[in-house]
Amino acid sequence: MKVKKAIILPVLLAGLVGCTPKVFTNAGMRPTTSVKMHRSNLMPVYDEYEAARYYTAEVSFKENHMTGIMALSREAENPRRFRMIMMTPFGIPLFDFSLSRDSFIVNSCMEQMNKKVVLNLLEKDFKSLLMLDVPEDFPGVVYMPVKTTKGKWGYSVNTRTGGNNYIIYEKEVGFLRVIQNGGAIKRMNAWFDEQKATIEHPKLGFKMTLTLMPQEE
Amino acid sequence: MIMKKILVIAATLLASLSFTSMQAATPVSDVNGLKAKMQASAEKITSIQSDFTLEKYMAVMSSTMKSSGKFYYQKSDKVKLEQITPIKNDLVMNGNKLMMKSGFGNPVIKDASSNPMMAELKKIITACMSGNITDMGSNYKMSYFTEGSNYLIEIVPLSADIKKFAEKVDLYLDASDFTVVKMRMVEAKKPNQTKNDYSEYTFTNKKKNAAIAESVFAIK
Repeated sequence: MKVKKAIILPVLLAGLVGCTPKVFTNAGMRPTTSVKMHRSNLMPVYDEYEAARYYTAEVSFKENHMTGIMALSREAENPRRFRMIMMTPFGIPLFDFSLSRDSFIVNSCMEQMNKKVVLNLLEKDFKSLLMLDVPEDFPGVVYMPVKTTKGKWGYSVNTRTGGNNYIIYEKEVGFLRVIQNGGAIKRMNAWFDEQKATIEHPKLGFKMTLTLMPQEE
Repeated sequence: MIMKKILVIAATLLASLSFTSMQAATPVSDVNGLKAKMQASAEKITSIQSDFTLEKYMAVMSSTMKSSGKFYYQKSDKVKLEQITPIKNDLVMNGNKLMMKSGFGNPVIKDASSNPMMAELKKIITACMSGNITDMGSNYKMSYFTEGSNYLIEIVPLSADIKKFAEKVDLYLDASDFTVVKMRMVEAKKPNQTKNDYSEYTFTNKKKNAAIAESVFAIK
């Protein structure tokens, strides 16, 4: 039996190494094991937030740029649901979404953005950022750095929005999460920590950066 | 016993304080007289400079979003909101042109004359912030009240397009000089919400008729 295991494991890992996503090879990581994981392994940032948080939002779409304010909070009546409201710096509303694992509600949206293709994209992006697309428990492949085992973890996970690859870097304070989505929609990259989040669709020329605004005393 | 007395006195004090701070709005009896005074005052004002604070209230959020900056108005169609905190942003309206400028990317410049809704929004913002609402036209239903030392003018847009941005605007004018003290833009109620979201601008440290450099309103 032991002999059988000794043969199967290296073969499986060799197979995984063969199809290692570029994001991991570029980060000097290789697959180590396939395990049952929990969502908390991915260190979701926004799960801990209860009070409203405000971010400056810088959005570029091709040659167009705009700045706004994004408000993020859990809904008081339904804490499993997040509320995302974006407005101009002078308070004119742009969109207002409610998001949960199973729902995406458009409470309001400016006419120019109120198109299925745009809303689908934003739904997938924001659900990835809030990690609402990740099941509570799931099988995933763990990637570890080739040279050192400290400060960097990689996971390949099947999510509702397609396959996601995550790399979590330990920083001096907190962690930086990198998500690469290779699902049916155009590839999305995101980087985020407790202060800042960037979502990018290189093929579409779309980039959004959210920076936490100072909290009032 | 003493503790009970203290509690009763404290409760009475609190009740009387909250009663005095609640100032009911009463309808203005002589609306035409008020309009005439507003018109006369608007004619005397050539420019306004002030500080402003903006509080964005969202019914589902546990706190309001606050920002502040400088406000400039030059008769008759130049307005600038210079947001300084928490982030730097400029909104300039000069004639038919409108510009949004931040430290990110190039300024966004629009020509309101090619977009009727933007032109109307520009008109309502300019009129409300400058306090000169006398020529807003028939697209708005206006109701006039006195509230403490202010006049409150409730402005309800009749156009469905404008209602998407503001269901109504509550404009508070200082009764002594008819300058704007506070402007509250109330949004339409969203599904499943019992309260409306709104943006409230408060104007302080007003300077009337002081010279403002033309460059303040430059759009480029």
